[in-house]
Amino acid sequence: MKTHFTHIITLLSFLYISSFSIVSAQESQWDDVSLKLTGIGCPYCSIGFIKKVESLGEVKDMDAVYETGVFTFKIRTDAAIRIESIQEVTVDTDYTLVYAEITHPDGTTDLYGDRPKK
Amino acid sequence: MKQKFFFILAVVLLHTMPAEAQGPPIIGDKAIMLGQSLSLVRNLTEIRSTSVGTFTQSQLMFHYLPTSRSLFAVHIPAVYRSGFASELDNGGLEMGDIQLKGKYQFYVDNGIGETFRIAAVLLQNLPTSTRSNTRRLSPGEYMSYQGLIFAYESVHYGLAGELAYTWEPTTDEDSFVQKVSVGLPLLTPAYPLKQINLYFEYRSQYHVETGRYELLASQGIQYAYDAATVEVAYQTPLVQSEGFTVQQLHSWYLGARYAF
Repeated sequence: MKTHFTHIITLLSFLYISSFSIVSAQESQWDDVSLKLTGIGCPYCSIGFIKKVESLGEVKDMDAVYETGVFTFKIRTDAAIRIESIQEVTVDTDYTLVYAEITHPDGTTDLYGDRPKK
Repeated sequence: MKQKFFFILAVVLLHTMPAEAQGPPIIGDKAIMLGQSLSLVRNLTEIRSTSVGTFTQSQLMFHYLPTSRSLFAVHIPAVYRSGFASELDNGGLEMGDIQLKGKYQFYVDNGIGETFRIAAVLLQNLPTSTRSNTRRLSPGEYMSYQGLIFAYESVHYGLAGELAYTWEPTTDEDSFVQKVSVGLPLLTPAYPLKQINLYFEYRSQYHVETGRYELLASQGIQYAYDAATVEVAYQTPLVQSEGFTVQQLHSWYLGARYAF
């Protein structure tokens, strides 16, 4: 009896930990986004663009190199961001999208334009 | 002497600052729009010392961009007058002239780390001030201001210019207005946004019917963090015709804005 009880407890613990891991895995799904824009001449001018991007979904690790117009960030996969979403944001803020690459957690990528040379 | 000092200071700073980028002008208008459906709330307070007393005008401004290239705004000012010698003019707080503004950006040329834009602006002054003798801050008359704003922004510096005509059908104060501003950053551009910018702004106004003319220069500093800025500027006349019944001595500008 005691052995059965121990097995049940072990099984429940395993299920609980497994479900926690699945939830954690879902929460850690992020798309990597890299963009190159023309027209951003000052950081404050880009605040509209940044706010529009943040309105698409939860964003983290945002970085911007204003000299080259390159923005990189991670956005939650459940935001279902697509190249069209990025194009819409750049049109709304009057910048020109030169290049965009979205890398999904499964390794697939959406690409627009030519990759900038390193 | 003053003119030479400001000119030399501007030239020296233009050539020595580690310029990387900048934000919106403090006193002048901007041709660059922030983006469709965005709003901006701003306060700009001018403390103007004149030959007859001190005018302090605090404007609360609400801007909204219905499209990426258009902007509508309303400016609601309050004017406080102090230091007046005349017994008939004992100062106090009063309503200023409410202004309605529309702006449309019709030319955009984007490059890597730079942009050149031109916008048309129309500002309509409504005579809502309780006393008309607050003129030059709140004219107390119907006045329309039609202009073109040019802006070049790069990651190294910002230049803006404005050509405008003010039309006051009930007075002889119609004038041509020209504005120039140069913005220089002190910090390397980075995310999250944090900037300290220096601004050198010039404004000239020629009154076509009276021939009066003035040229004002201002130096300002702006701190921008994320979507907010705070700024302060000092303005002084370089040239001012004697025909003005009220001579401007100098002005301080204090401002803050937040985009959302």
